[in-house]
Amino acid sequence: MKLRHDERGISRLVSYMLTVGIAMILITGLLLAGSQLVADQRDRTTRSQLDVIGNQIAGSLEAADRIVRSTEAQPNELNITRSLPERAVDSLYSIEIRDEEIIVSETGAGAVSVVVPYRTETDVETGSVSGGKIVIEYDQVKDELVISNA
Amino acid sequence: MAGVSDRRGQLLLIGGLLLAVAIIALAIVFNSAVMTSSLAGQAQQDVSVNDVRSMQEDVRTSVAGLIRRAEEAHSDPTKQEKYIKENISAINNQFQRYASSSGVIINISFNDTFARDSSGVQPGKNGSRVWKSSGNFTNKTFVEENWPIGQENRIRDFRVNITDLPQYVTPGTGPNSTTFTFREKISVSSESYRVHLYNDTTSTTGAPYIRVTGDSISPRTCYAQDRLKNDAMNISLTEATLDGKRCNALDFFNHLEKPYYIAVRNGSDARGSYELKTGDEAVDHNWHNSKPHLYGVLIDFEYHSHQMDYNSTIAIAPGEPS
Repeated sequence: MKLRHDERGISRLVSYMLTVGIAMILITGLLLAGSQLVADQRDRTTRSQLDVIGNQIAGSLEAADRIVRSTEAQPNELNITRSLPERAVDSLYSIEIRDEEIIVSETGAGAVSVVVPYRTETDVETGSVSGGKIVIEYDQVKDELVISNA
Repeated sequence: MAGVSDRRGQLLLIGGLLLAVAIIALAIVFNSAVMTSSLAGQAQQDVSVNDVRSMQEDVRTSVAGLIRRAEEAHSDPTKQEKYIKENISAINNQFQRYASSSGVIINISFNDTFARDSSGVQPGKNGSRVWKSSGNFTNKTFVEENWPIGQENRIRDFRVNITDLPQYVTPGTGPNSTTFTFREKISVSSESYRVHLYNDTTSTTGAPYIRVTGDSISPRTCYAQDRLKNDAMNISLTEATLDGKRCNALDFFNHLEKPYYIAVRNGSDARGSYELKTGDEAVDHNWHNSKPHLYGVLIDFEYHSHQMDYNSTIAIAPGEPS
């Protein structure tokens, strides 16, 4: 009887549930797309931050090289301390020094890594250090630059 | 009727809550995106090498001035050195006050060791002042063991005052120019540069000319613009000046590895005086005067900032070719 006198196409309840349902579907879609966006953004940000870190180390190495070369005799002591971030976008990372290139790698699965070139006339000891505070030191005996964690 | 309204209210409440949670989640997600993009820009200020280098250059200039004052005050090298030792603390205090305003600690002190640089030359301590006051220059060629002003001819303040010069038209023709030749001491593939001094007979005034030829440079000249033929001209070979003005033709020392030989050709065609200081104290000749003289000093330079610790020994000898 009630339905006979009801002239609306659907009841208020169905209408309301449809409205909320459609809104939820839209928001869920946005959330899914947003999550993917954040994941991509995180990758780009990590890569970008590792690149900045690599370039900071390369810049410091080249700066140390310029000081060593501008000193008529070898410097008796040269230490350059750099306070790099402990983590890159909440991930630990490591720095590998090779001949004429620095590899900065995020640790963990699906890790991002970047390669930054550098040029010095003074030799640089190859090796690895972790993120955080680092020291670039001039070894007078070996006539080379050495990077270590502070 | 009241029952229907209650149910609708519950639905509104639940729906509203779900929407609010969803919107908050969205806000968190997009905030993360914004936060991560701003993270990438975080970078620490780069290490400034220029600070330590400019500070070291300032120290070099100040100590060079102190050496000049010591040379004016005393002729004896022992007294010159004593004067510098006594006054180096004043320079140190001055630099410490200046650097402390920028959070840098500096220490400058006199170094008493007899260090030698990479070429085996002792740049600090005593050397000789060599001079000839008047008359003709003396010929010394490479065959005659060069100008034997010492075994290690690191030089500074090489000044020549010429009153008479040979007439000279073009290289290889007519009378020759008086020529100073500087040659690297290394035996194989050593570079050499020749400084020809002459009156240019092709110019209307016959102005005194300097022409520099060398292994690594094309010939270049400079001349005393306001001078007439045989007017005296003052040349600083090590500081590349002619009558106090810059003479770019003389910028050849940076091509030469210290130490070097010095030879003089056609010296008898020119008259005047010359003076130089050499890093070798064993100078003994009868054809020009020589006397022990302070050549330079060794200074310990320390620089400490929050990013850098630097310590080096720098040799300072004013008037050395740069």
